[in-house]
Amino acid sequence: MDVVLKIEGLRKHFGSVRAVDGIDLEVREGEFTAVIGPNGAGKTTFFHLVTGAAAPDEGRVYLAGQDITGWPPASIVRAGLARTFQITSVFPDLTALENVLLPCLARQNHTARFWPDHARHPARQTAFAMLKRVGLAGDADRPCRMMSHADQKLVEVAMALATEPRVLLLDEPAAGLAPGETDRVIGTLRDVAASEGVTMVLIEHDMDIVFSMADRVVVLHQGRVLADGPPEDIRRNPTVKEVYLGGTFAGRG
Amino acid sequence: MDRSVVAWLVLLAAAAVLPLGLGEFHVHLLTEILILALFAAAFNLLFGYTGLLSFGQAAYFAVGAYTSALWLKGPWPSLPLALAVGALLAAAVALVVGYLCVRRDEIYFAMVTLAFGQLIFVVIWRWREVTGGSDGIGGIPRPPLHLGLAEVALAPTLHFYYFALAVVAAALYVLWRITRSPLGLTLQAVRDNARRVDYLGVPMGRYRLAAFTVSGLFCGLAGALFAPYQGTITPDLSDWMRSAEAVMMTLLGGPQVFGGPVLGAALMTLLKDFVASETEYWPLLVGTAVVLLVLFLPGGVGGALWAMKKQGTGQETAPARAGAEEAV
Repeated sequence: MDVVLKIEGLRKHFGSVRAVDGIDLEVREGEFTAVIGPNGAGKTTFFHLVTGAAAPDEGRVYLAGQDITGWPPASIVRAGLARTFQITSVFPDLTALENVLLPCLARQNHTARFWPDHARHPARQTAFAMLKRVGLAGDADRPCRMMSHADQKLVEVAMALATEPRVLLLDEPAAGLAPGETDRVIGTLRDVAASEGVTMVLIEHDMDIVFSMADRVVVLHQGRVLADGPPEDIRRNPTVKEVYLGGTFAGRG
Repeated sequence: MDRSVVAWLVLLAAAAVLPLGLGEFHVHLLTEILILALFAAAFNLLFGYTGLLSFGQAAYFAVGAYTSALWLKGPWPSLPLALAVGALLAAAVALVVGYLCVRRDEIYFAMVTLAFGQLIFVVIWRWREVTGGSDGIGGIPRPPLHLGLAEVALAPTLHFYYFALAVVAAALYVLWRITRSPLGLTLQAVRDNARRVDYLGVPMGRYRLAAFTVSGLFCGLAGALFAPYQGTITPDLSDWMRSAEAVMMTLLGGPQVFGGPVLGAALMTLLKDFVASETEYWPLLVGTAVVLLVLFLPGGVGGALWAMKKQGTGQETAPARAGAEEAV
């Protein structure tokens, strides 16, 4: 399988805090990677550097061979790297369909069109198909603010998919969800990953989710990669147990 | 046909018939309402649709007014040209100022636009040779309109009213189309969650700048109409008080429905006229009315009507949202 995302020597220090301290990582097409690590391990900073939210002090990020280091976030998304947010981030006053329509319009470079009616735009069908994909066809015309937290998470997934990404970064998709809701959101993500063939990179605290979904687990510790391998290996890795898992796999970090 | 289109056509027909039964003074007043309605609707493209509170829109109104006045007193006095030049220059100034402002949020954006607005006020005040300084520009003509073979005099109050109605109706139509277009949806997304749009591949700053420029264009167009309407213009056109008027008219009518600012402009102008004829303390009364409305009808009069209509038709009573364009 081809390497679609390649990270070389990524480094970001905040004063004396080495948030990300030299990360190398290659993600292959179609792979489902989970990034885990204790609080302060540098997971979120790592995501910020890769998605253009912050510029690294050192290192390069390549998407499908193209150097995207330091690009503005919108250009990185256009190049094929999308993300969702730990704290659900949608457009509350727009309907679910309109939320997903925006990235569909952006994909076609139609967001600057100021004359035609967006309610009649053909991209609406694409947006609707995306909503259907995450099981929200019946909620298309509801304002996002009136939807449940889990539904909003799924709208966000549909929005990210609508950008037609090659790689999708998911920042704790189960954060703040009730157990039943977690299953629905994670189940949908697993279906989507399997059927759309999108390469996914997941940050997650819930070990059940990580070990049930990921093909590969990367453990970050103090801004570096501590371990990298299939879930079974990581589960048995004594160093990982020591610094992070503490012998139990069920606890939330 | 779309119900909102029908509503607008009815309103337009009413606006066309109304002045026939009114005296010159009231026709003059109606013209002012039209011009301020366009000013407020242009302001609301930024405020209600893009989520940017500008406290300096009077500057673009004034740039439009002064450009139009100077053009009409120049060698080619044509009203359509004066409007075009006034609107375009206002848009150009807005493009430059907007470039420096759009990265700021909320109160910082309001303060920076206010500062630039006052800067333009000072330029108009000081640049005596061109703007006439504190005396302003007087004797602005209303040259006749050439329509092919026919020539229409615009000096009579009623004629100018119809000219203003045509211009304002066309401009409002364009603004309305914008709010319903893909661009309008993008602006509303910027309003709802500005930092998010970048992560969908939409560079947020560019869209804010587009909204600022388009708003400046239509504020300038309103100003360009105002100069020949009034005949005399002075620097207080660009004062921050006038920017605040756009804010008040919009809050009065409701920023969350397209027609809100239009309604607000009508209410405010009529209120001012009515109260001013009774007492010299009219700003106190108008101010109190605005405060009461904002406190007790947070969606404005237009927002309240919209909610009533929703309830009446038994639809989900979602809180009024910008872009609920069907309401008038």
